[in-house]
Amino acid sequence: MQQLSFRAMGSAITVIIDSDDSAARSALTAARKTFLRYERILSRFRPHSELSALNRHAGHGPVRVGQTLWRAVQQALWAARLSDGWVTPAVGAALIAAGYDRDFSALANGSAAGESKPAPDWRLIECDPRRRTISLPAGMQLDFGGSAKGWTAALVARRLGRRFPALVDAGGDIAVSGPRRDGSPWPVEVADPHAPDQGLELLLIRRGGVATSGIDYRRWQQAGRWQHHLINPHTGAPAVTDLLSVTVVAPTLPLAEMAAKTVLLRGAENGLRWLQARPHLAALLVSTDGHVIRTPALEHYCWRDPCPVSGG
Amino acid sequence: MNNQSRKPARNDVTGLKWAISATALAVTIGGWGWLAAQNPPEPVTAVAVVEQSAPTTLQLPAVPTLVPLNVPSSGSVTASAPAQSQPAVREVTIPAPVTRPAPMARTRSSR
Repeated sequence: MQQLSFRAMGSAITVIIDSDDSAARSALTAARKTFLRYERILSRFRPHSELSALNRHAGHGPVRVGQTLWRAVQQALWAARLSDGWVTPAVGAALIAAGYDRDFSALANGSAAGESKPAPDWRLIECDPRRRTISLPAGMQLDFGGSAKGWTAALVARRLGRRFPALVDAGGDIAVSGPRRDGSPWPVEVADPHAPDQGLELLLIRRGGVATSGIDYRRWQQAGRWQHHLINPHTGAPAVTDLLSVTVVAPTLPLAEMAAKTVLLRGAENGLRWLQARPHLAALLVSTDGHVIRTPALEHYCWRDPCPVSGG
Repeated sequence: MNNQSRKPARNDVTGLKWAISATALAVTIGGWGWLAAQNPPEPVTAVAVVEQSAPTTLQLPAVPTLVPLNVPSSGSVTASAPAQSQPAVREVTIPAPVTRPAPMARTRSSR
């Protein structure tokens, strides 16, 4: 087993390859380079990134973009479509207004509150696949916080998986290329947001993705009020929700990421109803008052003691 | 033309054959009758019925059973007839407990 840990896209990244092959080391290095390269292209916080250049050009017509930014935008539009607009890339301006105007590690509490207004409709983004150009309406700023990290992790896992069993952990969103070399699944623990050092469940994942969205960590104070990074696109403000965190297991990490965020933004009741129509998704919801809700499909992934010892 | 040897007439040969057959038949029937008179038929015996004075006891192989626990006697417990011999206790192998695998990753909100 070999692994490499580093920081990229504002998160702690760990890439694990289940192989003792010497070639695995260079594969790990290549994986790190992919994350760093994508961050240079897709980060809203880097003034020289291709995304920042596209954002600056909003309202000024089409901009020809590179393959990576083009695919990232298509991935974000896919998430917006599947989530009925709840997970949209058009929340950049709203995040800035809420105070999230720099990398989270550099965020300072107490900045002045900006006016919140509904995020622009993501369907106004115009894409020309022949010319590979993207046009943003005036005032729209793109942010890939809800999609780029999981998309990159899934891509890296897929590439590594052609040669080795691999797991890519991108800040808690996890992509698995396939079973480990002995055929066993990868054990992934779901952290308890109320007690981060403890686990709520141990999941056994053979393939696909596990993502957790939560408001327990990325939050800050702005003008005396707590803000967090999950924007309700209908209000343009951090979502008011009764859920502290949502974990979803899905056939792919981008799908899990989109679903986890959608359910958290919609709240427990509407989120569960949304999940009910999607039986291929398994979820664990933790409410702000400490309740834990598991969908029936999650049982398929949970490790259970085959010989439980009964008390008394 | 004169016949040097005279062949017997066809009618004469046929009559001789019938005479021989009839005689043979009579002897056969008579013989059977004589034999029957000499060896009277034996009476037909009924199927033998084995009569036993005691009820049949089936000899079954020993069935392993658990040794009954020494439960303190109570009014609801019915005493059973003592066994002639203690049945062998079956050895049961308990599988080794499965340990919880150590997690290789943790999923949580973005760090």
